[in-house]
Amino acid sequence: MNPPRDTLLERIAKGEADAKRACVERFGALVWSLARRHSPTPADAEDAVQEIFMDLMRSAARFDPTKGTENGFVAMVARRRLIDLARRRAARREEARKDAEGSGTDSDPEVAAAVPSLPADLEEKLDASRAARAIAALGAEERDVLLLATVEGLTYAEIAERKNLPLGTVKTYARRGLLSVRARLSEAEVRS
Amino acid sequence: MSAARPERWEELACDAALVGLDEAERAELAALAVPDDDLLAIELAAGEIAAAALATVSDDASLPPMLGAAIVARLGPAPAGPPPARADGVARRAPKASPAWLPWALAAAAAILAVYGWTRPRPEATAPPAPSRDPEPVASIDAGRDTFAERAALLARPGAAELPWKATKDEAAKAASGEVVWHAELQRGFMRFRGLAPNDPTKAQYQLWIFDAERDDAYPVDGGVFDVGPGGEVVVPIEAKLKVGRAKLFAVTVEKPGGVVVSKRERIVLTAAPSG
Repeated sequence: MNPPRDTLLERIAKGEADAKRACVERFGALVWSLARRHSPTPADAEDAVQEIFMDLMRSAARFDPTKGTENGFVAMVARRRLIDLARRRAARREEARKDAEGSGTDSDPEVAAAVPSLPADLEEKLDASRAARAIAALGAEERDVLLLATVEGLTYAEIAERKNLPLGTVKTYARRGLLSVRARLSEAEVRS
Repeated sequence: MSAARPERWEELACDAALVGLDEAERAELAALAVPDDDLLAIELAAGEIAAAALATVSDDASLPPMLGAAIVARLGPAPAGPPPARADGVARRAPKASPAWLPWALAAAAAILAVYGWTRPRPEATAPPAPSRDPEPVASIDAGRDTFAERAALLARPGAAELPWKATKDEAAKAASGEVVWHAELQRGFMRFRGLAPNDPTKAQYQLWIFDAERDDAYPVDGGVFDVGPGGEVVVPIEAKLKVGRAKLFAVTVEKPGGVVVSKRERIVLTAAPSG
């Protein structure tokens, strides 16, 4: 019997020459989708994508195929960087706002990049993956809140505004939903 | 999973994975000494959710091919070039006497358009610059290498072109002059600068861009990141990350440490085009 083939991330960790290109080809769409949703402008998304792939090269050795999927790991690394970038932008905006208050001028608002929304019938479209089943098992409100945070990159305050929910409720839904998905993924991991 | 109310570390771990933490929250989470695996499991769950949800979206979300190519080029080592030109016994050749100037001359009009198009501020370039990141390996002036002699040798080879730099109004270029030497067949080149302002590599670096008539102007070829120290004349080898088919414009920008894949074009310092 042939031994199992290395995953792409494992090949990167081993320094295989052609793995980097393959990584960009295979995960480019996923990273780009996330970057566009989490970035205020296309130029910011382009910068973010580069930084994410640099991060992936550095962290590929941490991928453990028994703990999750490659797509999930790549999305995790991408989101980590995108959240960091978003928080830095927010800090700069806050500084600019304070400066503007002092000078009596308004700072430029950011213009969100136009990206397609998640399908309304997402539950039906989810495939049979473990994560998809875990998402489908959530209550509708929990699922919506969780997707707005993980996919669209909205903050709790932004989700509260969009969903017209109290901030505390949004936090509860998000945390409960994520812990539920983690628990279901862990159960599946144990079974497998 | 915990009961109805998560433990504090779970709340913080969820917030970290979903929206990030501020300094005080990070310190609080660190003080709880949660095993890395537990934190990673929550963060990975958020990644799995995002990946599964995005798999349902059928849109034109493919990474732009030129951006992908630029990233691949930056991730990997620079392509192995031909052996360095030898300086021994080769006389300097007057570039204008070379037939190699013909394609450059033909590209002049396109280059002018490219300069115009590229120097126009991009609508999306008004956002604040991205934060700096860990510097990547850069092309810099190698003290142990006689770049002056290599440049002279390359310039002497048939097919080499020499293009003078044209300074913009950027402060760094106030006293700058020099030229680019580029050999299309050998895919090698050098930049010579006089009077270009020294940079602090921890704050900003210079980056060369090569516009290729055979590529989209939105994604010029990254020609390498470099530093300029105090002093007189410097010669910097060009480190093109991709093959350049027909160079029509060279441009030097000021970027964050380590350079960028796609320039926001906020500070263009020098340009050189075949039209002169």
